[in-house]
Amino acid sequence: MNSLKKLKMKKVKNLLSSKEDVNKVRSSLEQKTAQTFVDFAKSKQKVQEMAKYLD
Amino acid sequence: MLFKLDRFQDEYIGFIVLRPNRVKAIGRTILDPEKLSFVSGHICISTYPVHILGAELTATGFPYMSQDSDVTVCAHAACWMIFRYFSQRYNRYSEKWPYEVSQLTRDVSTGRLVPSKGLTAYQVTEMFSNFGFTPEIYIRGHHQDLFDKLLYMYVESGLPVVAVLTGHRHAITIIGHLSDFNISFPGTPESSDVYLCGFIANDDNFLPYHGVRKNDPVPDGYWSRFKVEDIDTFIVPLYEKNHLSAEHIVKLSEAILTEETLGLNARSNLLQYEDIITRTFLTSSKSFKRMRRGDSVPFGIANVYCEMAMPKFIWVCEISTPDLFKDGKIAGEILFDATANPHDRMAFLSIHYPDFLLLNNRDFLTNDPKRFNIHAVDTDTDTNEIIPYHCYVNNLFEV
Repeated sequence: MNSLKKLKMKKVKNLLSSKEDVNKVRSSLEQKTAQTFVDFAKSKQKVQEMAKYLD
Repeated sequence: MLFKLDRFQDEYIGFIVLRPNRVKAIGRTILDPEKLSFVSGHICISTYPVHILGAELTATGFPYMSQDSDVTVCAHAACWMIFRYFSQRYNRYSEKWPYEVSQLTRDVSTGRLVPSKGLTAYQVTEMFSNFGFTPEIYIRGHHQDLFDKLLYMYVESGLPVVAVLTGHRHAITIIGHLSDFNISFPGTPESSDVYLCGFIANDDNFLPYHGVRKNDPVPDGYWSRFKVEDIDTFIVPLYEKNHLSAEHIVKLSEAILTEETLGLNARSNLLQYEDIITRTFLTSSKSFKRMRRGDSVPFGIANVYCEMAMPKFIWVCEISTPDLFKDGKIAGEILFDATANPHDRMAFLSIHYPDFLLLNNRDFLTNDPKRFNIHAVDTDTDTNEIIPYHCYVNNLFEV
């Protein structure tokens, strides 16, 4: 990307530089959101199971 | 002079069609909220050409009509308002007449469709689907504390929603919100819905642009007897490729901002997570790039955004502070791929903090580190202060 060459910031090379580092971030995000995502899936099921007129 | 009505464009408020009904005669209506002294807030609006005696005028506003109680009831009117808004704004959606709206549900298990005895929230969802949306339905009991925040996020995204007040057997259309940026609150981190005073709704039993307050007492102005807490269900019209819903983004953005490697405290020397206000909304990448093009985003990041490969829709989580937010300024943002799988925790496109930028190449499906392009401010030579820039303004119109 041309715009990256003109970016007034320096490139960082020693951050997330291995597959293990990336996997660690992915696992961390999965861990932080796992329970709530399960809850959302359950709430979707509840919608489908639920049986009022708007007039 | 009668045939030169277009000279009144600047004073033109809009139009109301009166139907030849004995009951509830107010038909399709467009009124300009800017010209109504009792309306204020951020509202979804569009423009509609009007022809009177050969002169063309433009009406600006959000569509409104009352139920006729012959064919349509409140839920039909609420749906029609949204359908008319989308059909005017996006050529993907065709216009539907009120009778056609009543026929968009084929669920006749509880009796004939006309004359209507009323609709269920499920039938509204079915009508949305048959119109061309891929709707989501949210029920307060299932989302508890998140419900009002999710409603705010969709409205902030410029998506009008049908809100159901089951206790009142009624449905209204939420088309905007009213916020007070001088409200005091316990502390940060917070999200921008903390400033919310109420939503702006079209209720077919009243004039348009009715306020639905969040708290008592009733403020001065044009407010409904309903409160936000009376809304127990809402149905949001989503585009078919918007797979990532608001509830996923709330949690994913929070997880990123507090993550040990990518979090704000880990990567920024200028801003702490404990001090921020976030504002999260959905928008098209086309509109986002158009606004950011040539904008004051520091270090040339605006051009990076314009050149980035983006899906049709993106979620944006803007990062600000209470002082900056009052001035409509932000310090950074996280962009998400709205078409990503909800289970993909690497759904972010970029992370921008005041002194840090990470781009995530979504073409990589693995943990290959080449997927990231990371830049940071050189603290030896560059500024050591936050360089604020304008928040994104496109989804709603400020009145």
